[in-house]
Amino acid sequence: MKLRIDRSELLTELIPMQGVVERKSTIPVLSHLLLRARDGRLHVAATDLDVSLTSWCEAEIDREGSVAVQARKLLEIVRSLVGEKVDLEVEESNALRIVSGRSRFKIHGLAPDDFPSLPEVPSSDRLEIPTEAFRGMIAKVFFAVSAEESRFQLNGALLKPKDGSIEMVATDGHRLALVETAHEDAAAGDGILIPRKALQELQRLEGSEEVEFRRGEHHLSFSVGRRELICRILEGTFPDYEKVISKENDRVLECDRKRLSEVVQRVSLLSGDRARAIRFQVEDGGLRLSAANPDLGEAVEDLECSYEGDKLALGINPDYLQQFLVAVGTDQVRFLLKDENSQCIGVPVEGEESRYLCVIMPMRL
Amino acid sequence: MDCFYAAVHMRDEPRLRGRPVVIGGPANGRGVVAAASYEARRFGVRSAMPSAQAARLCPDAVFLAPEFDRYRAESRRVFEVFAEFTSLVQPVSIDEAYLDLTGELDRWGSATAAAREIRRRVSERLGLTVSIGVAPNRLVAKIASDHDKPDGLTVVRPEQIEAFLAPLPVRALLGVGPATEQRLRERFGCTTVAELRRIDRAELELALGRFGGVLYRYARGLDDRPVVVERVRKSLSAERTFGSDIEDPGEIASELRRLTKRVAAALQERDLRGSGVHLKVRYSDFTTVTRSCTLDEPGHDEEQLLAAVMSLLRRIETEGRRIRLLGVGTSRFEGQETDGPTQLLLPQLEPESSPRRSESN
Repeated sequence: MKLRIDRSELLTELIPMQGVVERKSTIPVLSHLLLRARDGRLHVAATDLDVSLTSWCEAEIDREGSVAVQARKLLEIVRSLVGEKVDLEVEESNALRIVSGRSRFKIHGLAPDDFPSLPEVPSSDRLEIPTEAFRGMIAKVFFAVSAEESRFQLNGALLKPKDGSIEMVATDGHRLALVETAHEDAAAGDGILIPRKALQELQRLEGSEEVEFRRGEHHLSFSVGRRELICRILEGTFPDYEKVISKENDRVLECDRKRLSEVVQRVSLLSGDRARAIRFQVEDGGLRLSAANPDLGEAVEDLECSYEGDKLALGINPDYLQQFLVAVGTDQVRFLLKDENSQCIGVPVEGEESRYLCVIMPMRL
Repeated sequence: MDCFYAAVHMRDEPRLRGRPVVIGGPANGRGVVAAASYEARRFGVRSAMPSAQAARLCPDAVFLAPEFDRYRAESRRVFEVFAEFTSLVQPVSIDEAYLDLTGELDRWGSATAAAREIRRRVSERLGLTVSIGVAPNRLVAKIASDHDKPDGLTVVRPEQIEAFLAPLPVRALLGVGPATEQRLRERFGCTTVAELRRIDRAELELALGRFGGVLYRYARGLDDRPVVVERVRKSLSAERTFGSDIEDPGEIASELRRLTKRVAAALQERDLRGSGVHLKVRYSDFTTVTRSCTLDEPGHDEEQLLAAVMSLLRRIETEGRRIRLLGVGTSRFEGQETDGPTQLLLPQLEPESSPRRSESN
């Protein structure tokens, strides 16, 4: 392999690869990128066996070929170079020679055959989703994805195509976030579980107006411009989430999102470290947030809100509340409450095209 | 409190007054003395002494079986009095406590005045006597309370501490037992606090380790331990020292059953369920071994606890060993680890493997 390539173009493709590359893997080749020169392009690929990412850039190719090189080191070198162009050449025993201006590097690589072969997803069933909207959906549910490995079926978000819309849901057993976005091409189909790591990488992908989504037997493919992320479908049965969402919450409260977020931030300073909880108390026209910690002291702050009804107080994890407030993004938020032992449902106030809600279970104080 | 158990009996049964009274196992049995009246102590009867030996020392003594429920009820009334003086009460045992009066001096004029009033109220309401030590810290207050028993009040002002402690044997200081006492005598020829005070801190630390540094401070009456109010019960146990050592497996088993029964009853009374169980065995040569295990489910059921205790017994060498003491205990009580706020789970999403974890509470 021998080629000349634009430094900044290469750098642009190397950066998103880093998220996929396994840092602490016991399999050395998984910390590597596969470089392959062919048909006027340098193809780049990274995988951790569950999630893979491929991309390419234009290159002036002298000799086709391939090599696997350490992802982190290659990025550091290319980033440090100052020349506009970079020459890459594979020498004997998989060493990659990198030359730019007066800088010359030679890094040891691995045989390209050692690199795992990447799954391919047939291009039959395709759905195009606007990239911005898709990333927005992930952002609205990602915080509710469970990180607890014992409940693997919750270690991802459910993507469910419906007639005329797409829904995405995540839950960790304490809270549940659901977002639904209108999409005229969508047709009702089975839900698919996208693993946590893939969601994380998808949030970073840019490069085109549309995400092209394809579904294979065991894998999913998301193409954004020249980049394609392929992940294994998370197996397991996602809970029947519509049943989780209560229809009985008839106490309604509305307040300013930004102000509430600031109050939560302040009050939670005294909520303790281990089991973080703040008290969320509503009565006519007012919301009072407070925290008390036997080791530290107390904090109280009042906030105006629209509420008519009986006084109600419940404990809530301030981080859960805050993550919802950040994700929802609207000026005003609405909470639907029932009692101190039942879920609290947060929704945006402005009539957006999309449906969004976040169910949060309270804490017993 | 002064001779608390005996005092309760003697208050209620006039025939006992003025007589040597021993609370504990029967004189002809293998039990030990739990408490003795001052009249009995005059004959050399001490707590933890085998009842048979007490009977030899004091043949006229009246032996009474302990009635712990009665003592607990009296203890509650005593602590109610303490609570009238300060909220900072640290119970040490059923009949002993530290009171921090620092913040209450305006109300009572002085700690000494408060102490007088405590003694008056206890005597008036309960008909029992209490000995009190008043001092700037816990170490000296404790020593002072023992200084003039029974029915005494000893006040040690800051400037009196050195003189007060100087003539006392080193044993009077907290943490000094027979072993430390012996080491201090052999190594430094020191038997009193005054002599102890002449020893360098470094030398004490060399001889006694970290406790040397503590003892250096204690010898000077220095102690900054606060009065700790709420101590959550972390364990509950029952043990018994035998008048004569036992070795028969059947006897060991029946002793363990009795101890377990007591622990189970105490747990049930306090509505506690423990998940840790431990067994303690002290052999005739005073070597002590303990074994512990975890129950599948926290419990307070006698049979459940006994099964665990008997399985622990199999992990302890008993054959041909003479046993002086057996103890059974529980720890890690249910609910304590989740003290504080608890996150509730979405009801429909409870993990199938552990059904109804929070919903049913």
